[in-house]
Amino acid sequence: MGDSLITVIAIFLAAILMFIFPLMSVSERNDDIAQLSVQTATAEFVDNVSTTGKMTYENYNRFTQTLAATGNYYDVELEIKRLDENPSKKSAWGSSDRIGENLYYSEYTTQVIDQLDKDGSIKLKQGDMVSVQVKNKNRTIAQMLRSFFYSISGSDAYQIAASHSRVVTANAH
Amino acid sequence: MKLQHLSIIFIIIMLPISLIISAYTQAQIDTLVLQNSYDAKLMDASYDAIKAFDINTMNNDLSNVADTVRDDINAAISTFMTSFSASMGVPGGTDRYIKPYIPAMLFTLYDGYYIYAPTLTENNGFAYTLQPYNYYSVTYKRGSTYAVVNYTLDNYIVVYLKKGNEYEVRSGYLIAEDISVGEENTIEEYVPVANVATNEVNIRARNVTLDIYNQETPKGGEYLYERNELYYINPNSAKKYYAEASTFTNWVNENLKDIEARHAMRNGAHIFEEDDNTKIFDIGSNNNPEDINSRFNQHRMEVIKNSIQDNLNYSISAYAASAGANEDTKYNFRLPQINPDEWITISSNICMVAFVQGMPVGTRYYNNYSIVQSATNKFFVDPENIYYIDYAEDEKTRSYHKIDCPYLNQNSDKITGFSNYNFQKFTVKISNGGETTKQTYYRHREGACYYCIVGGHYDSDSKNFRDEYGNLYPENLVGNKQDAYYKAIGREKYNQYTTTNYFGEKNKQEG
Repeated sequence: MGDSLITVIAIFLAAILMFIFPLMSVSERNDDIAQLSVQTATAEFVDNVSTTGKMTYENYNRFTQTLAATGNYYDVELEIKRLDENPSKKSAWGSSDRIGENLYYSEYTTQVIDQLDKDGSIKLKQGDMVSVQVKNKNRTIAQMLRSFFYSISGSDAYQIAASHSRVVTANAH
Repeated sequence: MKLQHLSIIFIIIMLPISLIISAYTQAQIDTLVLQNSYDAKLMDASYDAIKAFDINTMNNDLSNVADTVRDDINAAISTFMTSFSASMGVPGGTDRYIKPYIPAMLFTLYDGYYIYAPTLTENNGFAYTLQPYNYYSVTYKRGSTYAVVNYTLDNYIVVYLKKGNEYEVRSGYLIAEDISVGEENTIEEYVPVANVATNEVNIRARNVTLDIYNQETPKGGEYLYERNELYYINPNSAKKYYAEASTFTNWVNENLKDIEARHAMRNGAHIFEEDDNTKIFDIGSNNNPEDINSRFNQHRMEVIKNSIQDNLNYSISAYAASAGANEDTKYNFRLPQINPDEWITISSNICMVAFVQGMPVGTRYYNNYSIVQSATNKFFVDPENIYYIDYAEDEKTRSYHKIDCPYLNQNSDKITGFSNYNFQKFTVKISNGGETTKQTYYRHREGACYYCIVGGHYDSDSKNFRDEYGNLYPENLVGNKQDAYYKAIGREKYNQYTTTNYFGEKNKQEG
């Protein structure tokens, strides 16, 4: 009787050690690698916009394709901050004895995507800012396995995330 | 063997592998994150530096003159170092820890460039210095004809010609077609007027084309500038520009037509292929110096690239060869490969390039460079950076636009364009009895158009005005805009100061 109980426990242990542990470990690595490529893709996309002064539909597509290739869904948040020097010239907000006072207004993901859809590209000028934030939307295998053993939940629980932002350094043609 | 044994052996093998792989991947991610953050810091510091350069040169009346710009460049470098050090977390604002990783910085200006690099000193040490100015020049030798040509970022060149025993020096703009424009009548700008009694500065509007005839003292003070012909803009500037450019182009066509790319030499060696028979100075509609793809421009960019590459390479390898450099950083400094698109940017804009090499990042060494271009400066006239005001609009509501903005009325005959630095804020300092007051003012009070300039993204009202390479086709501009465009470019270029302007006198006499 005692012997068979130990055998059952041993089988359980063996199952966990031989099957679930490697699976968890491999899936964690998988996420790390996804993280690596998401980080690179985001930085590349933002840097390209920053140095050319132009966000094109083609580049955005390539960026989202690279993201999709990691096998997850992502939430991509784009923000373009447009430099507006007029207020310092026209209103009391900006002080008149300072040089180069900057105020910005923002365009967010939906507006940016709409413009990309419509015109194929968005032109920016020197001084504008671009920032991109990426988070995974689905639960990765590692996340699922983890929550099976110990649960971390809530809407903010994401595994793969990257963000990058840069000031635009060239005027678009 | 029992199942338990098998599983233990499995774990013994798997666990370390998994741990090592995990640590390795994490290290790679950290390296990458660090590298990205360095990229961002480098770019931001460079951007700060070019901004400092723009603001300083704009407020320095003498910055077009020979070496006074060195001060502004030194200030930009110091901005770069401070900003980069601060963002790297070096305390105390010292650049001592950052400098060994910066083998060179490059500033390309209108007719030449500066390299800032550690330079060998007498006692075998290194001092960070701004090296002497290098011109974008090249020698052509064909039979008994020698010509030294100084190129610039646009279609302006200086030619030092020796034919047989005769010498001639000429400078001017090259244009492919004759353009005729009329007189300009609306060139207004605001200028500071100082009241010495109260130590106050008022800003008054004046018409700069009429000003030479208008010598009376303004109400409530004095103009801060000498009221002579230097501050007077001839309403026929544009007309003269095209006439003199055409005279100069004819002279170049006459004297340099037979020069081919293979005749180009630097330091006694040919810099192009032996069989490269591209006729650079055969200017015409099929070789338009204002078209980025023309033979002239391709050659010009090659010459600039060649000269910069040689000198940078020399500077960086001299630093790498020294013991001092390697002790600090243990890195083999080398000029990185700069891609062709970036060379186009460097050879057609006022730019700053900063190289950073040898900083340890995680598992490797950081090696990158940043290229930032100055978008607002008074050194050279970029047609894209000329903004236009329609003076027919109400003074209170009018704004400045890009030439092809649909909100700029194409039927107005009072459109005037100015280089974009004119719309920036200027500072004026007045000393009176040991007391200095500082004020800022705008030369043009109009605000930027939200559609074309602030928004940046707009629908052009002139189809095919711009192509994807950034070439402009002014013949496709609608209405009166074409005329305004030619006038603005002509005037701005004509009144552009360069140290070699004097050699263009002959174009005036002959034109």
